[in-house]
Amino acid sequence: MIGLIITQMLNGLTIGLIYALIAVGLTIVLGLMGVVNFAHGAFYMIGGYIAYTITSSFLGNFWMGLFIGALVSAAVGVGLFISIIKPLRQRPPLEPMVALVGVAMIFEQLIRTIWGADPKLLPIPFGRIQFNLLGFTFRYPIYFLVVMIISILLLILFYYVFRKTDLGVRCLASIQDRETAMSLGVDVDKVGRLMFIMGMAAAGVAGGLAGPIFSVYPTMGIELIGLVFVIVIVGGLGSIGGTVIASITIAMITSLALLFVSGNVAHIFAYAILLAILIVRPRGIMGFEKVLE
Amino acid sequence: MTKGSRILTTWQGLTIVLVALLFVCIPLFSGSFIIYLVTYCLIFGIFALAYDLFYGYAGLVSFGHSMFFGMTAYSVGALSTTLFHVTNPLLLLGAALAIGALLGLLVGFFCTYTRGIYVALVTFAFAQISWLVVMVDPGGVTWGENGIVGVRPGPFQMGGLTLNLFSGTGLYYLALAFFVISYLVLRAIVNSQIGDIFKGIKQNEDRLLSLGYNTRQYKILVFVLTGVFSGLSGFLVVFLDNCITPSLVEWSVGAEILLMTILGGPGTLMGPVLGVFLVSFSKFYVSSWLGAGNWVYLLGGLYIFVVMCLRGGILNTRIFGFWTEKR
Amino acid sequence: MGNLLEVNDIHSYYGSAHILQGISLSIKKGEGVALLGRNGTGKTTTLKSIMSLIQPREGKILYDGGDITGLPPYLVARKGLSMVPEGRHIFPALNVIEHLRVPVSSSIVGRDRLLSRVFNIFPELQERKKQSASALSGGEQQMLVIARALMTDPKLLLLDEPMEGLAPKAVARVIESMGVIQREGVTIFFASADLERAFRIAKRAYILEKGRVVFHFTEDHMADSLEIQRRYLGVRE
Repeated sequence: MIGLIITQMLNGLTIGLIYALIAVGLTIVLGLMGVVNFAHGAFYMIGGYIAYTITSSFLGNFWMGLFIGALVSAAVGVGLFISIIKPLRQRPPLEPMVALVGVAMIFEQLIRTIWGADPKLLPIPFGRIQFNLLGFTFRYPIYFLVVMIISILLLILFYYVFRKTDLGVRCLASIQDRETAMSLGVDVDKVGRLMFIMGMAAAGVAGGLAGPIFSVYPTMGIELIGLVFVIVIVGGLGSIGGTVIASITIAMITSLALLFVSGNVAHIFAYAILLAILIVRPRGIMGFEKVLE
Repeated sequence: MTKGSRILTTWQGLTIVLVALLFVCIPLFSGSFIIYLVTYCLIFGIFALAYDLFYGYAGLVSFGHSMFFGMTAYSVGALSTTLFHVTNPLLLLGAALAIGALLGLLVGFFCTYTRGIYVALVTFAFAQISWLVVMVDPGGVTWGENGIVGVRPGPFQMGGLTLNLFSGTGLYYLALAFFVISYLVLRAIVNSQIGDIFKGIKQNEDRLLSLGYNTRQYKILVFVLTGVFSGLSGFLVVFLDNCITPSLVEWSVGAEILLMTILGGPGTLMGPVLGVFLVSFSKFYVSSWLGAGNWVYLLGGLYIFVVMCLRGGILNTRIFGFWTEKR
Repeated sequence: MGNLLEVNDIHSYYGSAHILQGISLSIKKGEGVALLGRNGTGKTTTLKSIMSLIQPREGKILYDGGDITGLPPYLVARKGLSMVPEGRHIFPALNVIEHLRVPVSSSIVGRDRLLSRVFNIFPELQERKKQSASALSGGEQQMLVIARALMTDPKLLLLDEPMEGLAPKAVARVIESMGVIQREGVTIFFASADLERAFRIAKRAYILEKGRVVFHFTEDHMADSLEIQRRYLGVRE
C-alpha cells in the first residue's frame, strides 16, 4: 500500500510539473492581457502531435520532436496573439473568450482531419529504474524522472526570466499596474507578445512530454483546460510560484484520490478547491492584489 | 430611468403576434422533420431568452448556463424515472422550475463574492462540476454516461380533456405556448422598473450603488430568473428526443447559447432567438451538405467572426433601431 | 519662443462626461509650473491627457517641437515626458531596484548613470535597494515613484499631487528634491490643490475650474494670493 501511495505521489509530481508548464503561459497572459485563453489547450496539443509526428517519422528522434513541437507552438502562438488576443484586449472579457472557443474548436477539428480521431501512442523512451526507498523496492520509469527534471529546469528558466531580466520585471509591473507601466515607456503589448510566445512554447513542450504518458488525441486540449483554469486561479494570476505550487498540489491530490475514487470524483475535488479559494482568498495562493478586475 | 414604462411597445407587440400566428400555422404545411427542428429552436429559444436577460440586459457573465439547462432536465429524469415515478407533468414542470431557481440562487450567491473575469470562471467551474456529477452518477440518479431514456409523463389532463403534449406536434404547440409566455413575461420584466435596475447594473453598477440600491440582491434575482427560464427549456428538452444525456450538461451548451446570443444581438430578447434559429438551421442543413467535420470549422469560424466583426449582433444594427427602441 | 510643451485647446472626456472643455497652456524649458484647482476640476485629466493615458478628442499637444497628440503613452514616455501619478501607484510586489529597472528610456545616458543620479538625489532609496516597495513609508514611496519617473531621463516631469497625504518632513523632502531636479535641467509641471505649497516649487500656475483655465497666476499676483486661494481653491460655500 505504501508502495502504491509513493508511486502515485511520484506520478502526481510528474503530472503536476507538466501541468505547471502548461499553466505558466496561461497565467501570464491572463494577468497581462486580461484575456482568458480558451484555446490554450490547443498549444499543448500541437506540441504533442508534432512530437508524435517527428518521432514516428524517418527522423525518429523524440527530443527533436519535443524541440520542434515547442517551436511550432510558439509560432502559432504569435499568430494567435497578433490576430485575436491583442485586438480584443479592450473588450469586455467574455468576447475574446468566445472567439477563442472558436479557435479551439477549429484546432481540434484540424487535428482530427490531419491525424484522425484515434489516440496516437508515443513509445516511452528509456526503461525502468530500480531503487530502494523506505525498505521497499521500486521499479519506476526513468522517463518520468526525466520529465520531472526537464520540467523543473524549464520552470527555473521561466522564473529567472520573470524576476531577473528587464523583460520579466516589466511584465510583472504591467500585470500589477498596466497604466503606470505604460506611462514609464513600457510597450505592454510587446511584453505580452514575448511572454506569450514563451508560454506557448512551454505548453508545446508539455504536450510533447505528456505524449508518451497519456498518448495524444484530439480532445486532450479541451479536456485539460478546465483543470488548468483551476490551477491558474488557485495559484494566483501572474504568479509563477503560485502556479507551480497549485499544479503540483492539485495533481498530487487527484493522483492520490485515484487510489480510492474514480477520476471524475477526483476532479470534483479540484473544482471544490477552486470554489473555496474564490471565496476565501480570491487572489489565489500567491497572486497580486490588484489583478482582480 | 423611464417613467411609467409600457409593457410592450407597438412594434414589439406586433412582432410577437405575427410571429405567434406564423408559428401556429407551420405544422399545417410541414413535415415532421421541420416540426422537430422548429420545436428544437423554440425550446432553445426559451433558453436564449433566459440568457439574454442575464447577459444582454444585466450584463452578467456566464460560461455555465449548461448547468441550469442540463441539471433541470436531469431533475425531471430523476423524478420520473430514476428515483421516483412521478408522471404528473405539472409536478415535473414545477420541479424543473424550482430546481432552476435553486441552482440560480446557489451560483448567484457564489458569484456575488467575485467580480469580472472570475464570475465567468466560477460559472465555468459549476458547469464542469455538474458534468462531473452527472458522470459520477451518485446513488444512481443520473445513469451516468448512458443517460436516462424512456421518460414518459402522463398526458396532460384537465377536466376531461386529454392532450398528448409531449411528442410530435403536441410538443411543438406546447413549446410555442411556453415560448410566447416566456417572451411576454421577460419583456414585461425588462421594460419595467426592475428591468431598468438590471440595465443599470450592466451600464454603471457603481452609480446604482451610490443611489442606494442593493445591487447584490438584484444580481441574485437575475440569477434566479435565468435559472427558472432555463429550467423551463430544460423541462421541454427532455421530451424532444425522449432521453437525457450528459451532452446536455457539457459546457459547450453554454458556449453555444452565448454564441447565438451574441450573433443575434444581446439585449433585444428576440435577437438571441434569431441567433438560435440561424445557427440551428445551419447546423442541421449545412452539416448534411458539407459533412459534420466541416461544419465544425464553420461553427468555430462563426464564433470568431461574430466577436471580431459583428460588434453588436444582428438585431443591434441600426436598421432595427425602431424595433429595439432602447429605453 | 520655443515652448517645451504647448497644449492647444484640448477637450477630454471620461466616458461621456466632458471633463476638459478647451484647455490651453504652455511651458518653457526649465520652468516650474503648477496646475491648481479644487478636486474634480480636471487636473488629473489634464496631466493624463498630456501623457496620452487619456486621448483628447479635440485639440493638439505639441512637445519639444513635435506633435504628440494621439501617440500611445509608452512612446510619449520615451520622448522624454514622464509622469508621477496621484496616489503613488507603486508596484506592490516589486522592490526598489526593480522599480527603477522597469522604465524604458531612449536617452543616450546609460542606465547606470541614470541610476546613480537618482540615488544622489534620493540617498534613502539607495539604502533600501532591496526592500519591497510596500514596506516603505508613504514619504519613501513618493521618493521612489519620483525616482522611477526620472529613470526615463525626462525633459518634462509631470506630477499629480506629489505632496498630498504626506507628513511635513516628507513634503519638505519632495520640495527639496524638486529643486535639485530643476537645477539639473528638468522642467516640472505638477498638479496641486494647495497654492501656498505649490509656490515653494513653482513660479507660476494655471488655475482650473470646471475643466477650463480660468486664471493664470504669476509672481506678480503673490500679494493677492490669499484672496485667489480662497476664491478658486477654498472650500465651496
